[in-house]
Amino acid sequence: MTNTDRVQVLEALLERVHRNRSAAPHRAAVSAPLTQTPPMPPFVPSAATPPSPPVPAAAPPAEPPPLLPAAWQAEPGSAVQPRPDTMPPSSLSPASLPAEEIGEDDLLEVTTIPPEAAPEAPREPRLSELPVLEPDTMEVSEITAVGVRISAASLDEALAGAVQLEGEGLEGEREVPIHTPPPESGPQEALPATGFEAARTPDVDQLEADLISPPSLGPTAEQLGETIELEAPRGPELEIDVTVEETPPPPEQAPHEELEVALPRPSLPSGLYDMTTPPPGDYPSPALAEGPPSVPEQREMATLPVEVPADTGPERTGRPALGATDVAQVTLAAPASPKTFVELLDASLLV
Amino acid sequence: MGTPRFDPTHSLEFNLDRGSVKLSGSIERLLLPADALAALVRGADTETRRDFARRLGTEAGRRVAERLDGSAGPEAVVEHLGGEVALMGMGSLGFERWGRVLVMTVQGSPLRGEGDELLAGIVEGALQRGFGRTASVVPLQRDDSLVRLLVVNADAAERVRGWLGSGVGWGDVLSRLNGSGDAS
Repeated sequence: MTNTDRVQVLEALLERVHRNRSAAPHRAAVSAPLTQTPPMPPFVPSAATPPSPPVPAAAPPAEPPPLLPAAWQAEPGSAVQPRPDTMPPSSLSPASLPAEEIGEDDLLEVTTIPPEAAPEAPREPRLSELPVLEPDTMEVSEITAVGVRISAASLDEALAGAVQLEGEGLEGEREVPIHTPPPESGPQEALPATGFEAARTPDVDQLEADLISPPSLGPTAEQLGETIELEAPRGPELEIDVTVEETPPPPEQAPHEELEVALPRPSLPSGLYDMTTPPPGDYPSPALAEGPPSVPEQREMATLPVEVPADTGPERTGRPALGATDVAQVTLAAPASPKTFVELLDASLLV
Repeated sequence: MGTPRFDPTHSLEFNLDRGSVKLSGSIERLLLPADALAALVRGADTETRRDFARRLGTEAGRRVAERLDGSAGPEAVVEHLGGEVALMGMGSLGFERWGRVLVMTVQGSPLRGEGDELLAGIVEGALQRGFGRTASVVPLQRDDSLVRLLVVNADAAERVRGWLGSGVGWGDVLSRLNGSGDAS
């Protein structure tokens, strides 16, 4: 689509905007730009629309509506398409509909692509060429579909907007693809974050400015805040009894005794001492305290005399004398004599 | 039950009309001169003599087994087996027990020293057929009229033959057999 075509499209849009403002003044409050795209299916350009089956809603009514200007022609290349659910059925007569609902704009939007338009060569659709979809027939000029600007106040503004669209169209081609590109496609251009992620993006210029700026000479006024002067104390004076406390003299430290013992040399095994090393000469001898004697004193021993008659000795009982007798009795085993001839024969065969 | 006595009555039957001799109803016998038989045995080889003697002892043992069982004492066996040997004309049979070693004696064999090996075969056959024991009988000692036959197993018989061949006396052989065997 060339710039001329865009100018024509925009002129048509501008004209409709003016008409909508004059015909529906109660919708003026809706002039705020909408930022949300209605959930409409993406529209395929005219090249993909089959021209043969005529749209039922586009069929001319038996009786032309009185509000439809006869000189109106279908805009060539118009991408505005009617919504089937917003079209009144053809069977209804215009007189049965309310005056506000059957407006001129509604009828003008029911357009079809002229069949004589030769299908253009398929090319990559540009952002500026995408069709403008209408969530509502009364908000046509206020919809910002993908890249369409808001309605202009005059033709000059529309032209200026068209030129701007041309420039932005090139940038639209660099839009981040919706789908995640495959890894084979190579690195993608990193775009500045938008939305909530934009707040996290550091301001590089500010950071550089902070680094370049000279060091502060002191706290700023914002850091110090306001200075409040306190009032003079009121009430009785308080006296504090301060008692000087004499510090006790530090205890005299006893002279340190030299109890150093030579540690075993590292060459010796752990826990062993070199027995050949002489003890230190100035090592004090241990003072042993005198304790109670562990050995009791020897006591006097006294032997008590026992009177025993000298003529009577102990009465002893002896074992009676035994005469010569046969203590051991040896019984010789009788030779086993075979009782049968077979036993005798077997014993002889076992030899 | 008492052991029946050996009764040789009418054991030998001579039929002069037919010119035959039968022993206890068995097949015909021959009455041959002892020296002729000795010459025949001497001329035969060892296996032939051994087989001939065992066939004579097998027949004697069969007749003993018909009258005696396993519980028969040595005296009964001597009586019945000796009776059979006597009917054959081979001498008088007796037993000697040297410790555990059984020694059979044959007195008055007509074949004398040449018939000792034949007597040993007869005893082996009789013990095998009459008592079911495989024994090896070795001529141990011989004098003019008496021959001692040692009854042992085959291994002991080989050792005894070796000892006897090396000049060991039969008394020492008996001592060695009693000292080296099982004490049971």
